[in-house]
Amino acid sequence: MALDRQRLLAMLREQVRAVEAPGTGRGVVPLGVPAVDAHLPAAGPGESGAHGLPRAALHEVMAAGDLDAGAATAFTALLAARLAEQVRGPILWMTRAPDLYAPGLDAQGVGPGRLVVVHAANEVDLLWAMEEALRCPRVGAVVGEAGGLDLTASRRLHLAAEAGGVPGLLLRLNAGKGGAMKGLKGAGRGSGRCSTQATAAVTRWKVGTAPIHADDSAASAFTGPAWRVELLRCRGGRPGAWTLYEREGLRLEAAGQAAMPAPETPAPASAVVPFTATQLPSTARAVG
Amino acid sequence: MRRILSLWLPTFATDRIARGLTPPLAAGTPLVTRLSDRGRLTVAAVNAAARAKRLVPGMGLADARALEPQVQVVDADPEGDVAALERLADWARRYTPWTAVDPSDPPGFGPKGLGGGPGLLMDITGCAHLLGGEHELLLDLERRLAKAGVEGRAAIADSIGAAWAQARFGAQLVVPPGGAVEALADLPLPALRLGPDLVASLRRVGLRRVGELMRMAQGTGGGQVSKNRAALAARYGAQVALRLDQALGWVEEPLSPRRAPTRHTARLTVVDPLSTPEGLAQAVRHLLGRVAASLTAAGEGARSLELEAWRIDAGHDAPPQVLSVGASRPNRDPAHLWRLLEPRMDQLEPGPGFEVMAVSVTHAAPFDGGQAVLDGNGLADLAGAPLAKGGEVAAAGNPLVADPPIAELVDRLGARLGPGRVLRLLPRQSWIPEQAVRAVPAEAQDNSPPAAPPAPAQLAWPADRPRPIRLLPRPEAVEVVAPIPDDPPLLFRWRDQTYRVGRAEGPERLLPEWWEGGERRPNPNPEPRDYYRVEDGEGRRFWLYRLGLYHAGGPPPRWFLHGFFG
Repeated sequence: MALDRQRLLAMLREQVRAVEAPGTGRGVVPLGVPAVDAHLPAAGPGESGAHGLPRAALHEVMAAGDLDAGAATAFTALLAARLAEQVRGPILWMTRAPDLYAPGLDAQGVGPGRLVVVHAANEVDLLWAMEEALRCPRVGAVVGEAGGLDLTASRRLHLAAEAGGVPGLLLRLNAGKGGAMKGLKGAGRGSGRCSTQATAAVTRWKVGTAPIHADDSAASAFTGPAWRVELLRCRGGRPGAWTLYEREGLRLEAAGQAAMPAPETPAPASAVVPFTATQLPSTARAVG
Repeated sequence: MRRILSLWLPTFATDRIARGLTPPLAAGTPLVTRLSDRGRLTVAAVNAAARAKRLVPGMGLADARALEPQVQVVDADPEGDVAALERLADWARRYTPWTAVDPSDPPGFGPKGLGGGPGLLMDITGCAHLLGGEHELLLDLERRLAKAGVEGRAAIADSIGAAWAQARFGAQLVVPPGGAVEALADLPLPALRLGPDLVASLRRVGLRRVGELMRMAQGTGGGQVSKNRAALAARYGAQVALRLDQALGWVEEPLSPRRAPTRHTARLTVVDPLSTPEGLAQAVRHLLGRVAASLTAAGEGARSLELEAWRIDAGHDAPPQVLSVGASRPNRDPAHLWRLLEPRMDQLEPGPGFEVMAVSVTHAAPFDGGQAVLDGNGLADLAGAPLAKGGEVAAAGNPLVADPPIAELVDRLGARLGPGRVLRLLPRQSWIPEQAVRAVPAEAQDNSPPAAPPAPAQLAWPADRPRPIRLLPRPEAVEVVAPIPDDPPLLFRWRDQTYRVGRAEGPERLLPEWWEGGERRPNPNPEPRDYYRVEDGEGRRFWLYRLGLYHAGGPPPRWFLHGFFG
């Protein structure tokens, strides 16, 4: 009797977990930043398993402002490369904008050997293409620069991602109320309100840039970008906000985390390092 | 045994023009076309009514007017005739994929007084049963031509020569297989496609009928045939013997079709025209199934295929409606081929309905089926293998479409979104940022020769040069405050917003590529660009460049914003 009860409880826990943290059935992919991963859902029942982004799920990345399109794009590319790391298969990038630049994506780990760019003429085609790609299990990851998207459409995409076991990433570049990037021809970044709408994405990130202050000891050593990353919503996890720095080799590091027992990286000394072309990142960590 | 249909259109030129006349030509009005021949206006073609008034091609226009004052005269349009005839040949592919234009004969050929007149040749071997038999096919063809106001006579026989002869001279419209000898025996000699000079010389020795020539050729004993034929050729010319042999099917005469027919084709003729989407879908899937079976038998797959549909109300010069789709790797899965066609089906305009539909494989290639079968459950093994870095790009061919499910996905996306929308972005050796990316269709095979695969280093963007992740399609002019000559800006203004530069990096000088341009084509980038990475107070990173250098006394160089970093 006691055994049955335990089994029943385990079953129920599993069911609750599936509802609370959907998409974790196919495993999770840690971001590699302990501070962030702790907020993400766990791979298995209990707290013992690794935490990370659910693979077979839809994720959403919003640009904090119009001028943060670059940061949001880079962060999305980084996530896509990370999610597709362990599988073969192309990364399909659906866009309506003419300004995606492949060398920049390459630098974020989405190389020309894997990238397939799909230029959709309209939003309907774009969502159709995303869903079609998400249902193909051999695809590494699907990124869609979707503009207007309601709950139903995003739920379809999430179901497709679950069915195909393919990570899907919605990149929302229209967060601001019009402005700098708006004038791009064919960019499809019309109204600014849609990104506030609820979507079925398992995680929702808001990405902007962070100013690198001279007194920010952790930041000054890096020439990579600094991102202000907010995890607004996370099913099976909890929200949070961090300043992340991109290290050489596409490793992320959170500000203020350097003091944690991080492997092979001693806490950088306080230093103001000039931001010049001649410095290689490895030598940039001058000790002042 | 081949079955050839020869269609003769004795008055095609005038019939075709009469169709387009407004107001329409009253029935029975003589119509001729005129042509300027060495300064003299002559009659080029006549219609049936003019022929009845004894007007013939080749006579002077003045003579024709004298014979028949009521005659209507229009300018001849030989090129238009050829084009119309080609359209007719396309239309006739509703009966068979093997159709060819039979050009007008030179003067003197064909029945006397009727002129040459063009025609069509069709190989209907194995096609007649679709319409219920050869007689029915002929009736259908003649009925449709008559409806279009085009006079035509058609005959079916075993050889081009026999069908040609029967269409012009004979009364037996369908010569049964093997019946050419009897059918031709009573026909006059011009029925052998012999010119007037040859006919005249044969007449002089008393030969008038094809049968007489045949007896000479066959001789009396079976063993003598070849010797007698040699004698015939020696006496009256090789052309006579050749034409006789061709008409009797003793030598093969090739029929070169107007369009190369494909080996894998399926057609469907329906009694009730198809117009509903469901009906069309069912018909196309049926055809795809048949094509797939044919591909399987040949061990091939389709790289591209075409769906053609003929509407019931289409005139004789209306080409079929065509949908073409391509597959990135040879494919013969009817379900996949249907998925490619399905999104395009709404482009068909069935109107009152299609009565003939055909699917043909326009490009077939060997099918490497083994790979597809092996990959069926290969996902598990592949999932464990981490992706090779760098080297994968160097692999000859296209790594993406090597995987059948990915190839099919690329096909589906391309079929719905249109050409040029599913792309791979590959490195190109250029320092100019907007030229450093080469977009190639995702389904395209890399065109580099497999013998010499390019080194991976050439196929990557240099990692030591930071590049933005968003590049403006056109660099946008900005106003800057920058110390001269080579310092990064302190302040810049873009789209009515001012940005204060916190940190900057640069310059990276990009020189114009000297091999670009020349006298004929000016270099689009004549001046050097100095690129700076700048960061504003909030950490946003921009890619600015200064076009040109500072010159004392010259205009200050202009600045542009080109992209955004991640």
